[in-house]
Amino acid sequence: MIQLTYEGQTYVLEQNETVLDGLLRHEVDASYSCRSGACQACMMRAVQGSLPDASQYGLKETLKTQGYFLACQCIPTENLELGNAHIEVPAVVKNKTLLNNTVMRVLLEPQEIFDFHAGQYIQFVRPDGLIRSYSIASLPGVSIELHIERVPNGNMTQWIFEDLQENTEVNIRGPVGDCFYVPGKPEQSLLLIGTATGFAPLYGIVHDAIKHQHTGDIHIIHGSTVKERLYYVDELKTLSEKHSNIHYQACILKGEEDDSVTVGNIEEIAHSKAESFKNWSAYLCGNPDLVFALRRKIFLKGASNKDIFSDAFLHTKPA
Amino acid sequence: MATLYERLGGQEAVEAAVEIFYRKVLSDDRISSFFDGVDMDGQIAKQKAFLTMAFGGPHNYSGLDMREGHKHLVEKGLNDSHVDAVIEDLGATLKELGVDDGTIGEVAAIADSVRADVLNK
Repeated sequence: MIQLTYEGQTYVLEQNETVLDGLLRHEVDASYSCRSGACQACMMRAVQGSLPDASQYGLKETLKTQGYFLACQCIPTENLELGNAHIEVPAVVKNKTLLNNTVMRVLLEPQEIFDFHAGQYIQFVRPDGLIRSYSIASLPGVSIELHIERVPNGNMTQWIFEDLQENTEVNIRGPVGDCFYVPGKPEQSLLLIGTATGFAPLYGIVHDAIKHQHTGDIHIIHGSTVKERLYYVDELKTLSEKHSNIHYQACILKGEEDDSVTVGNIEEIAHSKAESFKNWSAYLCGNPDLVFALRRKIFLKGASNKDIFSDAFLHTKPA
Repeated sequence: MATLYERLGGQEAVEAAVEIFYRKVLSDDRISSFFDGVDMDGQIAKQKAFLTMAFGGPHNYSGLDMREGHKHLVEKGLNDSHVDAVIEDLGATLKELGVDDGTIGEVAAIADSVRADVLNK
């Protein structure tokens, strides 16, 4: 007798009944459309219990890893707990360091267990309740590393840059996001492209790839308007010297080219990496227009949509 | 006797076809503007649903769903020539996957059968 737990209630499924049919039978307001495993309207997430392969068919690996599945295709073989797996925990600010005039590195120490994949993001909750999302630039360990760019007149970033003291306790929620490294194809070529602090998730992802002994070529392109807005240039040079499969390119739109920085258009630089992106994975983070344009072009140049992971950084609109 | 969907290869055929089809559609100047948008994951899911239907597979779309789903595009100028282009790209996709002309014809006929609903006629 299979049981589903969802929103605090337990539902018993009939023999060979799908999760969707079971929930609807119990008059739960579950979303659906095609009921054929194609449209993904019925996507849900299991936080406990293993899922039959058929229920995850066609989903991106990062969604599968997080337990997402299609309810209309899921006939469970064991009890499932459905839900979100987002938690909120307190975290102490351990360190605040300016990486350049506009980017602050903040290290947070969660006070309770907080699991995540490098490249996902958290909701940073200020003591007064104001919330902003920031990407995780580190692997799970003692601290969570964030790269925070100062937003002109930004409520949160002004506070972080000017007022936030070390040892302040904040809350963090999450983790959220589908832009992270999934082991399984160690020889695959990877293309990591980030603008400004879109580099943060990529920094985490490249370390995750290294940790999983990725052997395929890893191309990292960090783009910004001017050289002063780049950061971690030396760190990446060192990383690429240490690992022969890591190829790093910092690029700017305006300024002087030198031995660490190219002047050029980030899209053109991306395209120059290969004739075809078939069988590549791409991670695209930062400026939304660029992320969406690159995603489409990389797909058209052969990469499977399932291998394209993106995180467009959208600023909070002023009230 | 195997159904069209079974002959084509079912869900796996849809999976193999959808990205090839979507790339053709995005590169087809006659119709690419109808696919301008940033939700690629959502669009690909819709294409999967469309292909599942066109391959004779299980689906739950009513004529009303097709009408309402395409109404905003009809308002933007969607017409027969665009439906023709989509069916052409679908045929080219199947040819690339090695499907024979007869079977392609069967798929085109199903796709064509929703023309009036899609165009809100």
